[in-house]
Amino acid sequence: MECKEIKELLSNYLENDLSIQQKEEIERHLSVCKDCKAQLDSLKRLVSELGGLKKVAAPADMLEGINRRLGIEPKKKVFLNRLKIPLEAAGVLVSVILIVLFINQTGILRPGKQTGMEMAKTQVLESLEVAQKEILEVPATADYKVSEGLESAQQFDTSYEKGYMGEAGFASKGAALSRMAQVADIQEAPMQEIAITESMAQNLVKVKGFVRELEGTIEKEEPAKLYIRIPAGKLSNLFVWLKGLSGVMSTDPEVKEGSAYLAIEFYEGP
Amino acid sequence: MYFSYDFDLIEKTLKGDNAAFDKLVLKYQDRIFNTAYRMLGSYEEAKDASQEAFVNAYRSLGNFRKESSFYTYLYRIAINLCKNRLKRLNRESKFVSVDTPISTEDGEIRLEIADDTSSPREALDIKDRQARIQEAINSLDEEHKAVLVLRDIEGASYEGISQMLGLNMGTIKSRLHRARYMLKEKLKDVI
Repeated sequence: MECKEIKELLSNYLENDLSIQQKEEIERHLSVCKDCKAQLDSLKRLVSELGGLKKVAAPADMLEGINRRLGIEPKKKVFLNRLKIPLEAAGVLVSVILIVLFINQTGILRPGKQTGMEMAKTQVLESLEVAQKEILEVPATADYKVSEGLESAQQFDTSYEKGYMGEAGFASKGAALSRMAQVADIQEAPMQEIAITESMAQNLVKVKGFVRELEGTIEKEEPAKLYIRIPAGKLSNLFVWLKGLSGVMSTDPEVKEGSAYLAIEFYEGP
Repeated sequence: MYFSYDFDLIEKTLKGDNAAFDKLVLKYQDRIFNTAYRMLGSYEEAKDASQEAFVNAYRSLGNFRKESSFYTYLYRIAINLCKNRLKRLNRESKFVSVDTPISTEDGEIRLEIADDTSSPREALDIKDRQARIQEAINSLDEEHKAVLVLRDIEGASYEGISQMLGLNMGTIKSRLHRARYMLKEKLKDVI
C-alpha cells in the first residue's frame, strides 16, 4: 500500500478495526516509513488527549433549572444535620450496615468469585429491600425517610456497575453521588478523598445512606473509607460487630450532639 | 433487566412521581452536560442545552420505547439539540472574533493567537492545552464534532453512536477518521 492509503486506514488501525491482513500490511509499512509512523503517533496522542480532557460537571443548579422550566415546585429540602432519627430506626440502620458488612465478609460481592457479579448484585439488592421494609415498619418520628438513602444506594449501585458508554471514569460517578448528597441536603459534609477499588465500591454504595460525602478513583489501590454518622448510643453495637469482621477497621469516633462520626476502612485481600 | 432501574424510574415519573425524574436527572446530568459542553464549547450554552434536553426528555417520556437504554434516548435528544443550536449560533455569528470571550466553567476567557516562535508542547500548561483542544473541537462542523465527542471524549461504542445519531457504521468510521485528521491538523503545534 502507498502512504496515502495507509494514512486513510490509520484511524481504523487505532481502533483495531481492520482485517489481520490489512493490519500486518500497515505494520510492515510503519516499520520502514517514518512519515506514516509519525502520523500514527500523532493520532495516538490526539486520541489520548481527547480522552483525557477534564470532565466538566453539571452546574449545581441544573436540577432546579429543569424543574423550573417544567413548572415543578421545588421539593422541601430535608436537613439531615438537624433531624433526629428515632432509636428504633437507628438500630435498623446499623443492621443494614451489618448486613452489608456481613455480605462483604462472605466475599459474595467480590468480583471474580464464583458467585459472579450479577448474582452478588441481586443478593445485595434483595438484602437492601428487606432492610428497607424493616425500616419502613419502624414508626417514624422524623420527617426524613431513611429509605431515601437506600434508594440512592440502589440507584448508584446500578449506575456504578453499568457505567456508561464504555469506559466511564469513577470521578463522574463520584460527582453524581455528591450531587445526590446535595439533594438530601447533607450540608457541611467535608469532601473526603477516598480511594477505592471496584470491589470496594460495591460495598461503599450500599451504605450510601450513611455516607456523608464520597469521592474516589478506582485507579488507586488504597483502602476505602466510609464516613458514617450514627446515634452515639448505638456505637457500642457497631463496634461489637466490627470487631468480628476481617478486612475492616474503624477510626476513633467523634461524638457531637448525640451523634457519633466515624470512618470505616475496608481493605482488599485477606 | 439490564436497564431495569431506569425503566422503573420512568414508570414512576409517568405516574406523576416527579422525584423519580429528579433521580434520572441526577444520574445523567454530568454526562449530558460534559457532552454538551464539548459540543458547544460554552458553559452557558451547555447548561441551557442540557436543561432543554432533560425537559424535552420529560415531555416526550410517554413516547419512550424501551428498545434502547434511557441514556441513549437522552443522548439522542441532547445531541440533536446541540447540533441545532450550533447551526443557529453559526448563522447568528458567521465569524467569531478572536476578541470574543469564550464561556468556561472558570468564567470567560479570551482566545490567544498561537505564538509560533515559542517552543511547542512544553510551553502550554494543561489548562492552556485543554483550552486549545476545545478551541479546535469548536472549529469542526457539527456532524464531525458529534461523532468525535461521542467516540473520543465520551468513549461511546460504535453501536451506541449509531443509535444516538441514526448513522450506519461506515459513516461513523469515516466521519471519525476525518474529524481526527482535521483536529490533528489544527493542533499540530500542540500535539
